[in-house]
Amino acid sequence: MTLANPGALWWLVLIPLIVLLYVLRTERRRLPWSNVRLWRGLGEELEARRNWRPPRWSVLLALQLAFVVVGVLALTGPTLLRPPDGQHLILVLDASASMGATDVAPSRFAAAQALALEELGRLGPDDRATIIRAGAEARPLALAEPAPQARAAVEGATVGQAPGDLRTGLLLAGAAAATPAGRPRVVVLTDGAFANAGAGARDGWPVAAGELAAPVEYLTVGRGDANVAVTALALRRPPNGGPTAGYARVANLGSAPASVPARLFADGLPLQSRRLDLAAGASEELTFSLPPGTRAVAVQLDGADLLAADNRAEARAPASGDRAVTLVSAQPDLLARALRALPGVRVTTVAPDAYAGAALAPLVVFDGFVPRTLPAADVIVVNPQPGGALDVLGEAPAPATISYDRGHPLLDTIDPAALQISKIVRLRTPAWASPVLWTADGPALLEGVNGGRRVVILAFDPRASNLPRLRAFPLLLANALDRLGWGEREGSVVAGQAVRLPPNAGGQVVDGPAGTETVPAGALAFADTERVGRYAVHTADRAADLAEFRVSLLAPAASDVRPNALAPLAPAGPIAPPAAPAFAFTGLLLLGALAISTTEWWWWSKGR
Amino acid sequence: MSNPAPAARRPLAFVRRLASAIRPVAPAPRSAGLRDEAFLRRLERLALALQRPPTQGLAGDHRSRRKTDAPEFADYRTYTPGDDFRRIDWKAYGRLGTLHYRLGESHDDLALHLLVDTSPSMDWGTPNKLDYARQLAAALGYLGLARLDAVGAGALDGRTPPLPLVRGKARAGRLFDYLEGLAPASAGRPRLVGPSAADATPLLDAVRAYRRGAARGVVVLLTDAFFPDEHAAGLGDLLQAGFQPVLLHLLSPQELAPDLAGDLELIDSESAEVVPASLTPETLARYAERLQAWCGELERYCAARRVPYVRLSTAMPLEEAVLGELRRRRLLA
Repeated sequence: MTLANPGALWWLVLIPLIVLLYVLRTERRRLPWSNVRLWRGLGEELEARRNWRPPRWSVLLALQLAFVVVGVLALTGPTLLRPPDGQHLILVLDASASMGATDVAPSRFAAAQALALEELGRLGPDDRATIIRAGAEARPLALAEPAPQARAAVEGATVGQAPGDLRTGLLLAGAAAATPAGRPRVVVLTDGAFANAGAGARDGWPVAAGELAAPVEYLTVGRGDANVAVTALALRRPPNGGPTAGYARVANLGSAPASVPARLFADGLPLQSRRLDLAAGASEELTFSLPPGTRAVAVQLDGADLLAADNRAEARAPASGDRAVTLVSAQPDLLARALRALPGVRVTTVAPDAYAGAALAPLVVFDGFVPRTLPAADVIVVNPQPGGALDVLGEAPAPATISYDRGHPLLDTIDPAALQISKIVRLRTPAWASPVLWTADGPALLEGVNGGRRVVILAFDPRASNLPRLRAFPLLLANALDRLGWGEREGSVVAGQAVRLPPNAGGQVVDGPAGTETVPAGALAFADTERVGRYAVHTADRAADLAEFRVSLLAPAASDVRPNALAPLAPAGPIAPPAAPAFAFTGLLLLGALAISTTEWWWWSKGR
Repeated sequence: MSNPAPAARRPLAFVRRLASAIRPVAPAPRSAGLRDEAFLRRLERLALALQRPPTQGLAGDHRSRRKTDAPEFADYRTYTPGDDFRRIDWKAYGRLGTLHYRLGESHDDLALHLLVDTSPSMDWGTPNKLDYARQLAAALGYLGLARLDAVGAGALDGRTPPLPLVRGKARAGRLFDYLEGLAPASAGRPRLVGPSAADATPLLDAVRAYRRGAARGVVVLLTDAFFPDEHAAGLGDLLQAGFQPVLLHLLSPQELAPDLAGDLELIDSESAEVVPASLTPETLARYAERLQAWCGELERYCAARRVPYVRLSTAMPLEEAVLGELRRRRLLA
C-alpha cells in the first residue's frame, strides 16, 4: 500500500477545526417563550453562558469528521501495490566519441548495439526494456517498452563525436529502475574510456554507488588505443593589426609511437604540411601565421588510427570589421566614437527619420529614439524616449544612490560606484527585462530577451552623466557587444557545446553534418553540435544565411580511446523491488465521502 | 351594560367592521367555530355536571331543590332523551313536527363565571392559547346560556370590566363579542398574575375583584397557570366565598413537548427575563420531568380541595375538548 499524494494528509487539520467549531459558540439563537420558569435551573445555564463547551457526541459531528477522514484519504490516493511480474532491462548505450573507434569492426558502438540486441533477445513477453543513449546529452530512446520497440530504438541509435554524458545516463537509468515496470536490471554498454579522465566517483564510474537504486552491470567493448588527435586549435589577431597567429596541438593518445602527416589548410588551400613523429602519450604544438583575409583554418591528420572524428579540426579566423553595428541617433557622435574604439566594430549611423527604410546590422543601437516595434536584431537602447516600444513614465532628476548586480556580466571589470547620473528616464520595467543597475527612481541599466532578440537598455543619457569620462564607458559597451549581436562565430566550437544563435524572431534552420534541424522562434542557442564539421544557420524560409560555425572534437579526454574494465557498480544497500499499482482506492473512497455527505445532509434536514 | 374595552383594545376594530361591510364575505371571527350550528346544537344537549351552589332568583334548567307548581315559560330548547315528558310543547310539535322542551323560570339556574387569563404568556403558542381559551370559554358560556344558566365573564387582569351575568341564547352574541374583545396584556407590563408580583397575591386580587358583587356559582378559570403559588390563595378564596372553582389548564403543544435543539436564549414573554439553555435530549427530558411534576402538583392541590382540574393541549380540537375531554372528566353531562 502506498499513498500517491501523502501531502494531502495536511488536510487532516480540518478535524481539529471542525471540533473547534463545535466547542466554540459564536451566537445563541434568541427565542421568545411563554414563561421560562420551567427552564430556569435546569443545570445548563452556566455551561450555556460560556463561549465554549466540551464537545458532545453528535451524529452530525461524527459524520463530518468521517467525511473529512474519508475525503482526505481519497485525496492521498491510497494504492495497493504488488511486485512486478516481469523484468525491466535498462540498457545504457555509451555514445561518446570514443565509441566510434574502429578497433572492433565496424565500430565499438556497433558492437555495443549487437550486445544490446542480444540482451533484448532474451526478454520474455512480460518483460520491458528502457534504452538510454548517453551521448553529448543523455536521453532515453525507449521507456519501458516491449522488446520489439526497444530493438528498433537500439538499431536506430547513432554514435556521437563529442564527449559523452554517462553520469546523466546512469542517473536516468536509476530513475527508470525505480519505476514499477519490472524487476530492474541496469546494463551499461561502454568501452569504459570515460574512466581515463580519472574523474569518476568510484572505480572510474561517474556516479557513486548510493546514487542509484539498482545494481549496474556493464558489457565492455573495444580493445585498442591507437589514436592521434588534434586536441587544440586557436587563432588570435594581435591588437596591432598584424597577421592572425594560429596555434594547434597534436597528441598521440595511444600506447605506441605514431608518425602522422599533418596538413594545415587556409580557406581550403594547403598552408603547411608536416610529418609528426610522436612517442606514446606525447604531443606536439604547431604555430603558424595566416595570410591576410583568411576566413577559415583546418588542421588535418592523415594517419590511420582508431578514431577519425578527432583527426580534423576547423576554426574561423577573426576578421576585421565583421561586427557590424547600426547606430540610430540624432546625435551619434559620442556613441559612434565609443563604438568605433572597440576592435572589429563597424558602425553605420542612421538618423531616426531615416530608420524606417534603413538596412540594419545584427546589432542596432537606438540613442534617444525607440521605434514602436523593435527590429529583428539584438538591440541596445540608450536614453529611451516616449512613444516607442518601451513604456517611458517620465524623467527623474539626480538619483541619489545607485545599486547594482555586482556579478552581472554586463558590469564585468566595471565599478559603477563612480557613476554619477544627473537625470534618469523612468521606465516601466518590461516583464522580459531584469535590472542590472538601478536607483530609487527606477532601473538605470536593464537586460533581457524579447522575442528571440537580446536587449540592453541604458535608461539615461550618457551626456547627462559622467559616464563618457569614465573608463567604464567603453568597457560597458564592450561587455554589451560581447553579449549581443551575432556575426560569424570566431574560433572553433567544441563538439557538444551549445552555440548562441543570431537573433531569432521567426525561427531558423541549421544545416549540419547530421542533417538539417529546425530551431523554433525565440530559441537562443543551438545545442545539437554532437558531430564535428560545418554548421550553417539560415532563416526559416532559407531566404538568408545568418551565420556559420565549425565544430571540432578538441577534447583530449574524449580522444583517449583506451578501453577500461570496470567493476560492477553495486548499490549502497538492499533495494526493495519497485511495486506496480494493483488497485487504487481513490474512487471507492470518493464514493464513500459522497455517501457520508448525503447522509449528513439527510440527517441535518431531518433534524430541522 | 356597555363594554367599551374591546373596541379600545382593538384600534382597528372600526376599520375591520368597515371592511367587513364592504367585502362580500366577512372575515371569520376568532370564535367563528362557535357559530357552527351543528356544534351549538350538540352543546345544547350538554349540561354542566358540577356540584354548585344554586343561585337565587331566576330558575334554570337544573333540577331545583325548591318545588314550584306552575313554572313560567322562559324559552325553548330541543328535546333530549331523559327530559320530563310533561314539559314537551305538543302544540309546537303539531306545528313543526319536532319536539321542543319548555324551559321555565321556576327551575334553579347556575351562575357560570368564565375567567380568562389574558397575560402575555397566554398569547403564545400554536394554536394560540388565548384564542383557544376564548373559544373554550365561549363554548362553555353558550352551553350555559342554552341551559338558561346565568353566564358572566371576565379577564384575570384586574382592569377589564367583567361581563355581567346574562341569560338565554339570545345573549350569546354579547358573550361572544365580550370574549372576542379580550386582548392580551402587553408584554413587559407587570402582570397581576405572575412571578413579578411575588410579594402579593395577584390572582387573589383579581379573583376578589371579580367576585365582589357577583352571584355565587361556578368559576371556570381558563389559564396556563404560570403563576407561582397564587392559585392557593385564589382558589381558596373562591371556595371560602362559596364559589365552585374549576381550573382548565391550557398548555400549547410547544410547551408540552418542545421541539428545540442547540444553544438558545429563551426570552420570557412577560418579564423579558433571558434564560440561556443548551438544549440537548437530556435537557429536554429534564424539562419534561419538571413539567409533569408541576402539573402533578397543581392537580394534587386541586384534588385536595375538590376543585376540578383538567389539563388541555391547545392542539386538541375544540369540539373534542368540549364534547370529549370535558365530558370524560365529568364536567359536562
